[in-house]
Amino acid sequence: MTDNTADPRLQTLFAEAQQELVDDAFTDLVMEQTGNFKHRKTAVRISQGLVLVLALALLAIPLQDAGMALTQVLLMSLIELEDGPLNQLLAPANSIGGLLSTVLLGLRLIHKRIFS
Amino acid sequence: MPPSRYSNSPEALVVGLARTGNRDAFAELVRRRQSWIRNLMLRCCGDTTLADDLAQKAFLQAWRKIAQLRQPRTFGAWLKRLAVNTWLQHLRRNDALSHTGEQDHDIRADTSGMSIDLDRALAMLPNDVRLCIVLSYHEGMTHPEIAALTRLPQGTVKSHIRRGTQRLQQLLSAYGNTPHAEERR
Repeated sequence: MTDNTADPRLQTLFAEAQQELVDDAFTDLVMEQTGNFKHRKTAVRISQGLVLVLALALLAIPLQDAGMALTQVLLMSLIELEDGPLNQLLAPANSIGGLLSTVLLGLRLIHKRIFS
Repeated sequence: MPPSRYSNSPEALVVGLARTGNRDAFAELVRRRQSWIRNLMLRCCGDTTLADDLAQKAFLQAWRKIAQLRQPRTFGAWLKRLAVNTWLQHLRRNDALSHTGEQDHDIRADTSGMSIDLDRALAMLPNDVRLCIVLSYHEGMTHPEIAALTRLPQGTVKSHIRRGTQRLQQLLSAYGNTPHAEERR
């Protein structure tokens, strides 16, 4: 200890109070607990996997329906154009999805300008 | 438990093996470090049963987190940090930081009278003062190291150690076997 408040006599007392505390029972107990922890961890992972599989099985059809509905909404045209090459060319931009992407890109640019 | 195959291996190597999940290597680390951690916990709490319980928790934390230890050579300091955090968590759980350590402490399995008196005297210090004193005198840590470990301001650590030292000197004189008492004889 380098600090000048230290009392060397107390340091000696602390050093002399040290006991040799080594026994195999302690080691065994710790290792038993580490084993229990490993089993618990495995059990938790298996349970999480089962819950995930169950949730996917139960939610597969509703999720698929929601995904399809969302795709239809995102593909909806903002301005109705007649079928033709112009419509096909502008389709990515002329949709709700295109508008959302443009807005998000704009917000990201603004965020970068302000905070970086 | 039979002698470990790693009993003669350098600690950094054993830590490296324990990081990969080798239980024999970790058991060897427990064997090597248990006396140090159990003594540290005993000085902190003054109760042999609780000290062993806390030391076990610290080793269990070490097993859970050892894969995150980047440098095997720092295992000792890392383990000490885990042990001190285990003690602080115990205090928080028992809402003991707000109280001074004036409870009756069980010091039954002790073999040396000096140790009993020291632990009794330590038990009479407030918990945060006691922790600073133990880290300073038992572990030989400097004030900045203690401040970093306990997350207390350095000035607070310094004053805790000064006050704790004075109080210990008074208390141990009262028990009659401190260096102060010896000087008077």
